[in-house]
Amino acid sequence: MKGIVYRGLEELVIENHGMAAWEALLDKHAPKNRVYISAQSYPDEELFAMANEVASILNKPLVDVLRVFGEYLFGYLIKKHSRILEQFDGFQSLILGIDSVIHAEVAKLYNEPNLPQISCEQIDDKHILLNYCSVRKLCFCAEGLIYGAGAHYGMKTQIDHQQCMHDGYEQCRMLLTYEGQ
Amino acid sequence: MTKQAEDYYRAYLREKQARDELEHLLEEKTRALYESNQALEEKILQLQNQQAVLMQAEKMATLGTLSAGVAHEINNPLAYAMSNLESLNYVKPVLGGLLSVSKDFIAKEISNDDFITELKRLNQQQSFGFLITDMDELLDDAQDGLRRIGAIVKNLLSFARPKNNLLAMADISKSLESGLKLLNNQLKNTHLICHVQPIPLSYCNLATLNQVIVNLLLNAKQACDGREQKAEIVVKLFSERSFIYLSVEDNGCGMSEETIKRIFDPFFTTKPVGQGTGMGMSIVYSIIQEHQGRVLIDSTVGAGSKVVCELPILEETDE
Repeated sequence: MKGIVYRGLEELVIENHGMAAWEALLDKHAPKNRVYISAQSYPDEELFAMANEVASILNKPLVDVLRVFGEYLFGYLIKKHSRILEQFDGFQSLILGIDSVIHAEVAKLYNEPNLPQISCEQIDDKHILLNYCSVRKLCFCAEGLIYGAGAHYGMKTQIDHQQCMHDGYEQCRMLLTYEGQ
Repeated sequence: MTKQAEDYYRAYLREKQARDELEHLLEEKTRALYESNQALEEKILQLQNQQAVLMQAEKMATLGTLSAGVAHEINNPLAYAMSNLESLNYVKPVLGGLLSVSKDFIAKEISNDDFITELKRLNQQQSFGFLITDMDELLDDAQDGLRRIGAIVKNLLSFARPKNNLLAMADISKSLESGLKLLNNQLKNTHLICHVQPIPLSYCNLATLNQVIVNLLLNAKQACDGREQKAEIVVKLFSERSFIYLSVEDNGCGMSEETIKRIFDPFFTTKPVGQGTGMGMSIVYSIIQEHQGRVLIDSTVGAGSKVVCELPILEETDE
């Protein structure tokens, strides 16, 4: 997993629970003196362990923690890469351009070999069917990112996670419903 | 927050900002590098396409050089095939008569005596003995001539075909064989010595290696043109350890140090304007490179040249 994701988590934890909480997570789940750098890759296990720990501390299901993190991560990413958003004219074009625009940019900057495969099909003006497939199975984080994007564009977004890799499917299928608030 | 914690937090924010700025810088540089790389890859693709076009053009120019010799090669078998067919045409009336009288005899439309009389007449017209002994020969020779023409045309087509990427486990001696056949006429006044040893199969493109052999042999032959002593070209094909060696050695005019230095430069030629494209050795170099090999040159002005292609024996998985 690329460091930029860890950096998003670092900022979320420090903002909401302080530096001590982040230090405690690092002490417990990362090698000594770990410093996350966006372009560098780190073992996925560190992220999963920290997310589990946060869920345990907050006494919330892991999927909820991942959704919240995904939503926060969207804001963090656009703060760092605001220029990418210039290529989209709204929520719909952003979702439809995840693979062709966003992942192309990620490949350019971070050379990430394990990008999730995302394909979208626009059903009508208010619905997109999104297929998600990733060895990391971070579909709930993806949900959070989509909610984050919706919030950014002032859209009321709802996701019907119709089938999920966690239930043994080859890919997740999510029906996105959205409309301007 | 205590003063100490506050200081600690401010230090963290500064460190975070430093990380952000450095990452931003790194990303800008990475983006620029990526874009330059993309542009370079496009250029490489363009160059590869241009090289393919040049290779084909050079091949066509070589075909021009070969055309007179090839025409002669085709002309000989064509002449005797035609002559034999003409001879067969000459005996056609007798054969026709034989068939006709036989048909009438079987249908009992003519008597035994008439049949024998007619056979005798036909035998006088064209001796049956001659037909029995010569017809086979006439037909076999004509067939042989046409087969030779077929082989020459096949070699020409195989040489002229645009470079394809048909890499396969193959015997490089097939390329040598085909190249030598193609140049048969060009080399008829040359003392050609071939030492071809059995070599292992290698993952290669026989079509392009054929072009290498034709280019090397033509160069060797042209280096000998106009020399006093009889032209001698020694071709060797053998394998040693994990390499296959193809060498072409001539006793021609040889090359100066300056020529050797520039021999692989595209469009470099020592031939008069209009007689060489200057692409021959450049193409040899690129084809041998594509086979992960190298070209070694040894030459002395006035004594001759030796060009050795060293090709590693490749397996399909080595690609």
